[in-house]
Amino acid sequence: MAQELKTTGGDVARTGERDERAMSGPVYRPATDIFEKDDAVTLVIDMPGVAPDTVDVSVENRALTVRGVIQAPVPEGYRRIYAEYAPGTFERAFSLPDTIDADGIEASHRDGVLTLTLKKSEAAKPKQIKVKAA
Amino acid sequence: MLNIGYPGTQWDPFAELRQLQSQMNRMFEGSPRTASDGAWPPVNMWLGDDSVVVTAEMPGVTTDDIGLTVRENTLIIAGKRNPSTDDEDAAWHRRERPAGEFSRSIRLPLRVDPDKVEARAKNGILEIEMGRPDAERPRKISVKAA
Repeated sequence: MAQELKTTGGDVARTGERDERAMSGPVYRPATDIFEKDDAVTLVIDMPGVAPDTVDVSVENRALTVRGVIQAPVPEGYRRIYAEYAPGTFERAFSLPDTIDADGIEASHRDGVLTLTLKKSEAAKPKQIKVKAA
Repeated sequence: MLNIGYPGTQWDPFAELRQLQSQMNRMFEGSPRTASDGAWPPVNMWLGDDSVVVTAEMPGVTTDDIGLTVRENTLIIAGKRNPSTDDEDAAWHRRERPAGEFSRSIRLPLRVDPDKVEARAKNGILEIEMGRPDAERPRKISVKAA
């Protein structure tokens, strides 16, 4: 369910976006949890430093792509003396199985975590078939 | 542990090298961004005239779950990361986000006053601003003409 499409750092060949990419620094693959419960699949994606209104979630040809640019403002009057993380872009793509309703994806972003709720399509839901007595 | 330059030095080549190395590590497939060397949370450090700022990437950790301890020149960030779901019936397909208790001790380039600590969180980034004790601030001494 929701298998990962690309496992690279997100270095997808899309020439149209090259300039934009160069501006926003390296591309990182965000840590992701995926779990399934009843008729929903939930993706929980770590995107620290990304503002909720700049997160981009898109579905194209059953490929779900999430993208967000890290906003890391320099504290005013300070200079950096040590760094373990750097600005850049989070990007990751997942392929949606046919059992997922691509139109019914809900997204929320809180404390730097993007949560996507994917609903299974009606046809894929488990159905109880009643056995009639002959 | 952190090994940082003296306060006042303009450039720490080793910090630059470490940053480059961690960036390189992150470029390789299969290494999630935040698990570069096991120390969590990953931090950046910023130095001002009389204060130091530590910023930490802590996605999904609310301010209520974070405990900060400041003593002389040591900052300890501790807390708990909640799992994405507590539901035991949920079927996991992928589990990359770390969960559980964490604690990290960070050596600061100057001694700080525990009364001058301010912490803010925004979009999963925790910012801790710490000021130097008044007694240790460098003072300007004016030279009088004879």
